[in-house]
Amino acid sequence: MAKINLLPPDLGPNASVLKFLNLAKKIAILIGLTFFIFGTLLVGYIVFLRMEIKAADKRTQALKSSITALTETEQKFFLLKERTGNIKKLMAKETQKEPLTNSKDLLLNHQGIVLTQVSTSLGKITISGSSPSTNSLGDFFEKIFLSDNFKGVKLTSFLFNPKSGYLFSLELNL
Amino acid sequence: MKNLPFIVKIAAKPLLILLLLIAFSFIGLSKAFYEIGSLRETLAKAKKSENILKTKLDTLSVSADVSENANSAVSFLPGENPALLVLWQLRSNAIGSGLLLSNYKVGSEVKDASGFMKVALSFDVDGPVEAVLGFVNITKSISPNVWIDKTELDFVGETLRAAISASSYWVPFPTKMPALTDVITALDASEKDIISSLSDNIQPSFVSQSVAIPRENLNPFGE
Repeated sequence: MAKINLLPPDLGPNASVLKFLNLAKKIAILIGLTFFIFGTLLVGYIVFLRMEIKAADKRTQALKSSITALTETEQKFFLLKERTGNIKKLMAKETQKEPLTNSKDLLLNHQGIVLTQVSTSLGKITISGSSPSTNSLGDFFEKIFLSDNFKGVKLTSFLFNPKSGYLFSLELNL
Repeated sequence: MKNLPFIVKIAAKPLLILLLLIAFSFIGLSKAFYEIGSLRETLAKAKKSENILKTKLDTLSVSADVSENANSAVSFLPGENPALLVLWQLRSNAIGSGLLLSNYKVGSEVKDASGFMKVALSFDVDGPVEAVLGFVNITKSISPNVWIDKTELDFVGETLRAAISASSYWVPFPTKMPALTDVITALDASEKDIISSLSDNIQPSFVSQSVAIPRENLNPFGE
């Protein structure tokens, strides 16, 4: 049935008001639609995120139980890491050269030289000895001077004794 | 309501709906965005934790010889004072080199500046010069660790008496395991080098004796 407006046109709202109301209606529809579409998308995204979290939690639990099964290996690995870390620190601390290790040539094969006392501390060797001839002494000193092991050589004492020959003391720095 | 102008009457309803829609949209969207933000944060945390565990599991699964390597490392740097073990090692190596080890003394335990526990040791070694030098070299490759600090060598003809002062270190074992979700990193190149060098060290050998099973003595007063 056709709608008939029985109101006199004077009583009706004017055109600008109707236009405004029409615009308001359109804006309301637009906002409603936008809200509905965005709302649906956001709700979907929330559901997706919740599912992802649930799945990640499930995988985490599975990994946790797998790692728990390897507890003994984990403990040993942790101990290994802890010990190697400390050993690394210890090796970095104990870097100074132990003198005796590289002194084989010095303490052996020295004809005509009698070593009486050798003392070593970290980075330093002190040698006391004697020799009846200057030739042997010269060879011995030359061997020391030509060696790459010593950074500094200091003759701390040199004496002549008719009974035992030349007595010397050397201080070698590594 | 009857006194209100006609234009207000007809405009109120759609305007109210419009306002309500705007308010609902604003509240709804801000709540949704807040929820999404917190969910994304939770998901990021869950994924991070999952990745840590995955790396940890991979590291533990591919770590071959962990037990053997841990034993070598513990043997080199023990958790307790290693003075007796060092004595055992030095004595067996001295005997093996044909040397006489005597006057073994152990100092008191001290904690050094780096946090290591240290014990000072001193001993005398008698024997041929070459054998003594060989013995000193061997001390570098024994477990537990021994570091020679000072030596006094007295030459008596072809033989030598060496008075050696050394130190050995240890670090108490950790008492707490890291949490299950804590990060674990694989061994790096320097750690692998240390482990491979330690595996060649001379290890102390232990003899374990099992406890005898109690039995009835049928002749308690017999010989």
